Amino acid sequence: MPRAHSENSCNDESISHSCVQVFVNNKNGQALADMVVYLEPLDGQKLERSSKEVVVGQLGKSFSPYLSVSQVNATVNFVNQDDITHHIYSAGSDNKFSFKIRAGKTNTLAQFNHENEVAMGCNIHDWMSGYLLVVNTPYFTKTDSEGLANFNVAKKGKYKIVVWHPQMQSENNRLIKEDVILTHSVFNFSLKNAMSEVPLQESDDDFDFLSDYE
Amino acid sequence: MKSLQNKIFLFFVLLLLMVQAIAFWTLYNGNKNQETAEINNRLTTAKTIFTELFNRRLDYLTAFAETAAKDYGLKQVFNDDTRSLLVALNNHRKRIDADLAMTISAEGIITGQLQQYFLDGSRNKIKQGSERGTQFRFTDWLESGQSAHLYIIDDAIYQLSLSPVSVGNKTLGWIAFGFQIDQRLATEFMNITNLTTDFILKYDGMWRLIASSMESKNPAKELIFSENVIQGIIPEEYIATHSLITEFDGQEFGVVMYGLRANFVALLQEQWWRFLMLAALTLFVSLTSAYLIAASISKPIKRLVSQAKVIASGDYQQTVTLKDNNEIGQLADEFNQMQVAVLQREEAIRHYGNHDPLTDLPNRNALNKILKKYTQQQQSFVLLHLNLSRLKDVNDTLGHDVGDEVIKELACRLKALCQTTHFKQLIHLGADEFILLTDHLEVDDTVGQIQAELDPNFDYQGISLQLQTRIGIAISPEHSSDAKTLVQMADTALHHTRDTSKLVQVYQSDLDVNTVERLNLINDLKRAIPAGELELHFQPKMCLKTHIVTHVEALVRWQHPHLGMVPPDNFINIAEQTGQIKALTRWVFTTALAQFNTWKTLGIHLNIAVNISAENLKEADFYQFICQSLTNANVPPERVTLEVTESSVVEDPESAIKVLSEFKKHGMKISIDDYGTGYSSLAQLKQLPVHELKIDKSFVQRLEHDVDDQIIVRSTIELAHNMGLYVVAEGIEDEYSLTWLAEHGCELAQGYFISRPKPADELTSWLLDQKTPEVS
Repeated sequence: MPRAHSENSCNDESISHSCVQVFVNNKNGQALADMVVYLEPLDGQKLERSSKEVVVGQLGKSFSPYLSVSQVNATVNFVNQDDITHHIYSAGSDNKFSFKIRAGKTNTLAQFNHENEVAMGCNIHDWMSGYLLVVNTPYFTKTDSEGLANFNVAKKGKYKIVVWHPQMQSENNRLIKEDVILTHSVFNFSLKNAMSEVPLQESDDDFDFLSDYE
Repeated sequence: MKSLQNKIFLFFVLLLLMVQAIAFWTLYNGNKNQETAEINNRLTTAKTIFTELFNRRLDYLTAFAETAAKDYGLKQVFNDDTRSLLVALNNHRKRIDADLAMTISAEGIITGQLQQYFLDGSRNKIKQGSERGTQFRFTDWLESGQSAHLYIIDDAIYQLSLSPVSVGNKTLGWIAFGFQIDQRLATEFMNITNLTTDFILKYDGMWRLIASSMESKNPAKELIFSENVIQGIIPEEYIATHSLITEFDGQEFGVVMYGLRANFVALLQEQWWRFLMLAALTLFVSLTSAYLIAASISKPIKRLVSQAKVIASGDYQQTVTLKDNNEIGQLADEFNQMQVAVLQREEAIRHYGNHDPLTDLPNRNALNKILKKYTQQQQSFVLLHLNLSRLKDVNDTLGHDVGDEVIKELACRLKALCQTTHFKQLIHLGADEFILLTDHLEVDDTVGQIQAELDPNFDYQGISLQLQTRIGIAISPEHSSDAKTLVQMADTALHHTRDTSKLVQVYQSDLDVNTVERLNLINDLKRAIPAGELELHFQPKMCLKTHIVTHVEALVRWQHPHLGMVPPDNFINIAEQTGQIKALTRWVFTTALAQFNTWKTLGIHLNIAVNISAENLKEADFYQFICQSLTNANVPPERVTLEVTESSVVEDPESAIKVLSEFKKHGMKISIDDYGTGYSSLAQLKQLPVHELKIDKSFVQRLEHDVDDQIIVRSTIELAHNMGLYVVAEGIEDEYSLTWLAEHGCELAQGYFISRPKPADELTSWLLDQKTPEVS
């Protein structure tokens, strides 16, 4: 099935690259989108750093996207796309941070040097909830609407294929497979349990006065 | 007991008691209901307050835990070093003075625990809990999302609220705050509700007393009490309610609230007592009033009653004075007027009772009183009984009005006499009878005065009327000192004047006919005939020409078993008055006829005279009886003479004449007895069918000395002879009379000089003896 505009396309297929396709389904076989999938080299393969720009946006008083993924020590851009100030923080982990970010401004951080899940919140908007997954691999992406994640793997070898989602009901919120990738490979992940509800990031209170005021 | 006062009072008492009873009952019920409602209200309120307080504490905890969980400062140190976390935790705890604060890691390990301990009343101390670093016992609470719980550490029980600490939706762990359920809460609650409050918890199937607002000396007892309350067993003297809280994780937590019933109803009891006292006071006052009202109504009535008793006893002097203007007062006035009227009427009655209505002189009643007084004083006095003569004639001829006038005139004159002379009292006994009393003992003098006063004739409407009176006199104490006897004696004397035709008679003992004896005679007479006590005596009548007895008069004699011989004058009257004369006369007649026949057999031939009473003439079958008797005895009628008194013929001349004519026609002789004492007119005499006149002995007895009597007797004889009648003279007591009568042509003579009345046997020999001269 051709995917011309997919981020994880295998269009640049070559002899040296192996195209790895990962399908994530729920227990009923339905495709699950926006699941984080990353391949972690296990054979000490030297891989180029990812060139992807990581953006943790705040739009409509919610983290957008809900899930962001970055390589260790990558620069992460916190972009306030709203017209109000946010006070983004993370606590309770090795990657603690906290800062205010004015409307329309961008704050850049490059301090995430631990592989970790960084749960983020906003001290002002209590309901806001987002995650930044810090991985030590350049091969990371999120499944598309078909539940498919494509990787062009340059170095053959053994990899740990991980599917992660904070609401996934499994150990450490992830599913893991290990395999040697030599050529085109297809991995199918099926969740054993139903996913928890993804937070709606909406205020319980139905007030809207903040939008009226600069 | 049934007096008006009692009735009114009783009515009031019943009414008041009823009203009070209704009021009491209503109030009692109201009070009871109020009491129940009050208690229920109280308990319900207490329960509501408790639930409210309990829930509010939880809400407060929950809200605070949620707020604290959002605190960034806390989040920052949540997984950091313990000291920083505990300081942050305690800062939060202090804000609400929580008794328990805890942090629990995402892995369910208690990372911090602070407990507040009370050293004494005011000082407290925060200590780290013993559970730090251990697994939180109720991991299910963490995931359940339910924030409120009851949490037990050792013996302490807390209301606990859990709240997750999260970054975004990532849960870092939990924070918990708790208030201890202890004596402070119980006491606080007690201060609000005034109810002793116990907290009990079911733990391993056993109830445990957690806390009590009361410093109980015996917690076990307190626990049992609370358990009972939860099971619905409440002692009578307590009020209690309870609330079970089971919503927390299957733990059973109970609160028991109770109090002494007396404490809660004390106010009501006080009101109740106040009401009772008020009711008693009201009852007393109203009963007193009722009594006074009853008394005020009945008091004047009582006075009237006592007054009526006084009047009934005859005392009319007192009057009732009531100041009331009401009906009772009017009644009293009427009462007094009635009393006056009764008094007047009684006086009038007494006056009539003691006075004669015609002359207004004292009457017989007054006489009795006067005499009683006189005799009591043992005074000497003379009682004169006056009888106006011939009043009957006046009444008959001139009418009773004139008779009354005559009586009045007599009364008037006698009254005048009393006023001027020694006469003390004048009494009018009624009709023509008066009594005069005087202490002047010269009787002749007194009589003279009376006669002088009455001598002038009374001129009434041109008619000159005589006021001749006959007087009977009795003297006290000479005759008797007894009032009644004295009057009777005067009466007897007066009667005697009638018999003797005298005007004045002073009582003599021989005048008296014993009245008691007379009454006995009435009874005795009834059996005299059947008992054979009567006998006939015969008095001869002698022919003055031949001096031979040719006739006898049968005279009845009563040989009384006790009294001896009773003279005919004493019992003939009785027989006439009591209707026994019929039997008496018939007995006499038949007995006389029998004697006639007896004599006849002895050769004695006489004419027998029998006295016939006026009463006999009125008998319807008298004629028939006489004729029948004659026939039966075979006696010729001409041998029988019927003697009828002049007065008896005068009473009813027509019927007398009729009957006598029958007898005459039958052949019997008819004689007019006692001629000259009655008032028969010559015209009547002319008509009477008689054969002879019997001149009364009063004219005959004194022929020798009384010239007037001689004239009367001579004239009568001549008159009789001229009318073709024989003449019989009775009462011949001396030879002079006998001779004189013979000389003057009297046919027959009768008297003691010739012979007394004798029994037939006695007379028979006498008759036989005197036959000799006839023969010779």
